[in-house]
Amino acid sequence: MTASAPGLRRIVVARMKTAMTYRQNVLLLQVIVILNIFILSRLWTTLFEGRDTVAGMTLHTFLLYITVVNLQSWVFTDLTVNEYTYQRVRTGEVVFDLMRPIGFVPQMLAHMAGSHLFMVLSVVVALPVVLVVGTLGAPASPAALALYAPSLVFGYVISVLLAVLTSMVAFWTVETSGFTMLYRLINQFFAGTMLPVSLFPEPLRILAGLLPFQSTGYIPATIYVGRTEGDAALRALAVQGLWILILALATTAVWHRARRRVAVQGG
Amino acid sequence: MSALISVDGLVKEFRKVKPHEGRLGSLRTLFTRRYEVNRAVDGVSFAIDEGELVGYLGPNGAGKSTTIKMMTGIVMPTGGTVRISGLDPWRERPCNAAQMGVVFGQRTQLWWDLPLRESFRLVGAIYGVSPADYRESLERFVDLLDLGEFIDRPVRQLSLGQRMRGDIAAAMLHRPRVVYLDEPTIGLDVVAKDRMRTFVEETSRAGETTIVLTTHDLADVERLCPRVILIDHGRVLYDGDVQGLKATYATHRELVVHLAPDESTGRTPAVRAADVLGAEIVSQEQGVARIRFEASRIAVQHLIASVNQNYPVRDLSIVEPDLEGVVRRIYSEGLTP
Ligand SMILES: Nc1ncnc2c1ncn2[C@@H]1O[C@H](COP(=O)(O)OP(=O)(O)OP(=O)(O)O)[C@@H](O)[C@H]1O
Ligand SMILES: [Mg+2]
Repeated sequence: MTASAPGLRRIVVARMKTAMTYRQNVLLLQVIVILNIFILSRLWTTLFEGRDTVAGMTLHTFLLYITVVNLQSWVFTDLTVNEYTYQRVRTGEVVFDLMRPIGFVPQMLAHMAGSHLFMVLSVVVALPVVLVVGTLGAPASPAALALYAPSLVFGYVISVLLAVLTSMVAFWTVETSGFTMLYRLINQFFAGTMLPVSLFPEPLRILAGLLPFQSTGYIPATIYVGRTEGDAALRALAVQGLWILILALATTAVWHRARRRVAVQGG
Repeated sequence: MSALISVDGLVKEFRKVKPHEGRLGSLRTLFTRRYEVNRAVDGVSFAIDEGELVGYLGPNGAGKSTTIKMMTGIVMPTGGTVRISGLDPWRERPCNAAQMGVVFGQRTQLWWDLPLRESFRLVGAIYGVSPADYRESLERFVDLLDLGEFIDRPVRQLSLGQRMRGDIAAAMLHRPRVVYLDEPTIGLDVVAKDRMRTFVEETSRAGETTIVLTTHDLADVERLCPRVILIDHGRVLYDGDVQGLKATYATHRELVVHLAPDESTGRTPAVRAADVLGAEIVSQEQGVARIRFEASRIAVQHLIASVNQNYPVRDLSIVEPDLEGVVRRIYSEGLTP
């Protein structure tokens, strides 16, 4: 593994440089996310009319939640690498990834790391605007911050594993764009980017509990704003850890099968 | 000493869903799947020694690329074995991958949106090339393949020929022991092809690089490959040197006779079938007769003597079979010498 570190680092750098050449695309994404945060904030402010709290949160906490969860999701549901893998498999260029002395999955992870690093930079650049249209604020308490940090990392790992898994669909079917769009919608909804999972109607809330998506958005964001704390927060971290385990095993198994399926189109 | 590359009884089957025909066919296909098996590679065996340069030939769809995908460890064989310096490319993929370089002429391994140089850096890092070796290799490639003029341009702006040169360099920058070149001259103009051939020749000459070359341009083969392996329908038809291939399959030669006009009449006579010892007169136009004969049955000197005796000959030449003619015959008529 250590022998492949320089190669992987180089992929990260190249991926960031590629993102740099597509700056306009990133700008457009920034606009989308900012609009999203703006609309949701207006909407929820209106819905709060005449109430002190909703789902146990004050308006300020609620808007902070909406902003944090959407900023996270901006980076986490980046589909650059899904799109890339799909193109590589479709054109058969994936042969070049498969012939490297470095594993295919580590290469994909490096691509994601590069793309995500660039996304984080673009988030930082956009923060002043977010401050105006949304609500930014410090974590609820030092304890919240201490729990948020690992929860965010876990959430990130889960997102990445989900992205690797869904990318591999390309090895089974060449028609993935509809699937990817559907996946993204489900992912964002169940992560709680439109409304907190606690506001979902009963059946959906149960479903959300059975899916990994709330671990990528809702859990870290509610820890940040202080809605999930103490034992509940620790339990939430444990759930995240469990998802990492499950998804890591699933990724290994799926990749094992995908590799045997590789036929490589054309040639 | 055992061979560097040994391929033994290699098989690859592709399974395709066979659609149901008739009404509701596609709906039935969704539920009850029938498979159609296509044996792309059907029991291929050969051995290649260190430092050899072998042409791997065959018509479209013969199974060349599929064989290479198995030798490189990209595709899992359905049956048979491949060993590259003792390694199983599928099971020991990373080890095998570290010592090989690949060009698939129809695709590129270069990073589309970034300057060419960036792709070289990536190769250097992935294969752990030391900075000193990297600099030396790069300098050599820039020199040999004339990359200097476009190395800092994004790959998407390169012409096909420039891109192919970049691809070759990227495949060899880490000095691999085995190189697979799958149609490296496809789409190149005469000059670019020549440059590519010179480069492959140079690389091979040092004797440290084993090269398997796939091409549809037989001029590549005539120029570069002492040995060819010819396959069709996934089976080896011929394995040996180019001379042997010609000797085995090109049994006919052609005598081209330029006739002089008859001095008295001023008319050019025509060669009659009776005077060619049973050879076949292929064509006869404007005083040029082309006579095709089987070299093992009719001695050239007898044929020439007979023609000389009966006609006013201005010029004579014998056309040796070219590889293209031989291969065309094998592709279209199969393997009957
Ligand atoms: N991914 C695939 N799925 C199904 N069949 C395939 C696949 N790849 C190749 N084949 C089939 O396998 C056979 C051999 O293909 P291959 O690409 O190895 O031929 P080739 O000798 O490289 O031909 P060409 O000179 O045209 O490149 C063909 O009949 C082809 O249709
Ligand atoms: Mg081919």
